[in-house]
Amino acid sequence: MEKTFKLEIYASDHEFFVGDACSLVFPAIDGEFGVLPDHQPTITALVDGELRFKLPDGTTKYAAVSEGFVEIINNKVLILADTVERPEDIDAKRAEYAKMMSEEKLRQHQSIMEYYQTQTALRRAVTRLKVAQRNDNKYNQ
Amino acid sequence: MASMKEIKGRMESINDIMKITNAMYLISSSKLKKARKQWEDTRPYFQKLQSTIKYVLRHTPNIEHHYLDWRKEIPEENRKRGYILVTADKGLAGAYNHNVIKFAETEMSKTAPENIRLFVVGQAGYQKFSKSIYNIDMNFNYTVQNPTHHRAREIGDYVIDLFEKGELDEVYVIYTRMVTAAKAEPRMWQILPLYADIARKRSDNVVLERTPITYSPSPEKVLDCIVPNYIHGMIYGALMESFNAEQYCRMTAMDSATKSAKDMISFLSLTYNRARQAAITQEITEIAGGAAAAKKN
Repeated sequence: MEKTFKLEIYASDHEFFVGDACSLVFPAIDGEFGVLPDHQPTITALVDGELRFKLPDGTTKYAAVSEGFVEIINNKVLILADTVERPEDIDAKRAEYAKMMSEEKLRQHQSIMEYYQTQTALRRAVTRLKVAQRNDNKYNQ
Repeated sequence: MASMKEIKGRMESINDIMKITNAMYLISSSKLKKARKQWEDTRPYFQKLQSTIKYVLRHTPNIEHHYLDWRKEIPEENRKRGYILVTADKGLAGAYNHNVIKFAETEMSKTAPENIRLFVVGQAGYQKFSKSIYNIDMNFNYTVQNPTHHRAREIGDYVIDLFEKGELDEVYVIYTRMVTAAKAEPRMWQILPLYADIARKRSDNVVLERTPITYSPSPEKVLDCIVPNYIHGMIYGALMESFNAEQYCRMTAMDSATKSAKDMISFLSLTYNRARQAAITQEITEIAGGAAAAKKN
C-alpha cells in the first residue's frame, strides 16, 4: 500500500478536507511546495494560488486557496487558509469579469496602495480561472 | 378608578408595543440562530490557528519579531493604548451595551485619557464616547451587523498599521463573550503585541521545550504572514461572539418585555371589566332610583 499522511484543510468559514493523502502541492511564498509522506517538520506560509493533492485511490483534487499557512508536524499536514474553493464552486464568468476589471484598473493611474490591491485581485481572479478550468477538463475526458 | 375609555386606550397602546417587542424577539432569535451556525462553522479554523501560534512561540524561543516586541523601553505613563470596543448599533438589548461600556470605562480609567485611542464598533458605543474625554478614532466606522471576515480584516489591518508606525504600543479588544449558551459577559483581550505573557516570559530567559522545526523561508517571514491572519481571526471571533451575545440579550430582553406586556394587559382587562360592571351597576341603581322616585310622585 502506498504511504500516506494525514491532511487537514480548513477555510476560515468551513472545514474543507480531513483525511489521508499521498502527495500535496501548495503555493508557498517562494514558489510551489511539494509534500510527500514523512516530510520533515515545517511551518510555512501559504499564498494565493492553486492547491492540489492526491488521494490514496489515485484521484487528484484541486482547490483555489488564498493566504494562510501550512504546518507539517509528525506526518500530519494542517492547512489554514482564508478561503478554499473547489473547482465546481468557482463561477468562471465572475472570475473572468474580475480579471477584466482589474486589468482595466491597472491601466489607469492609481495610488500605490490601490495598485497593490488591484494586482492581488488580478492574481486571485487568474488563479480561480485556472482552477475552474481543471473542472472543465475533468468533464471533457 | 380610571374611566373605561382611559383603560381601553392604555390597553391598546400596550398591545401595539407588545407587537413590536414580539417581532423584535422573533427577529433576534432567527438572527441568533444564523449567527450561532456561522460561529460553529468558523470555530475549528480559529482554534487551530490559535494552537499553531502558541506552538510556534513555544518551540522557537529565539524568534525576534516586531509583533512580539513588548517595547519595554517605553515607560508605563507614555504607553499608548488602543482599544477596539464592540457594542451594538441599537439599544433595546437589556444590559448588553451598558455592561460592555461600563467594563470598558473601568479598564480605560487605568490609563491616562490622552494616551488612549478608542476604536468603537457599533453606534451605541460611538454615541456614548463621542462626547467623552476619550479620543475616538473618527475614521473608524464599522457597524456590527452581520460580521464578515472582510470587515475583521479591515479593522485588523488598520490597527496593525498603527502599531507598526508606533502610534500604538498595545492594542486590546473589548467585547462580550458568551460564557455559556445563556450567559454573556464583557471581556478584554490583548491582541498586540502578540501573546504578551509569552513574550514577557521569553525575555526572562525561561527555557521552553523545543523540537527542530524548519521555517520556510524564515521564521520572521512565516510570522509576518501568519500573525496578521491570526489577528484578523481573533477580531472576527470577537465580532462574531459579540453579535451572538447582542442577539441573545435582545432576545431575552424582548421576551421578558412581551411577558410583562401580557401581564399588564391581563391586569388592565380585569380593571376594565370591573369598571364596566361598576358603570352598569351605577346605571341600574340610577334607573331604579329614578323609577322609585317617579312612583312616589
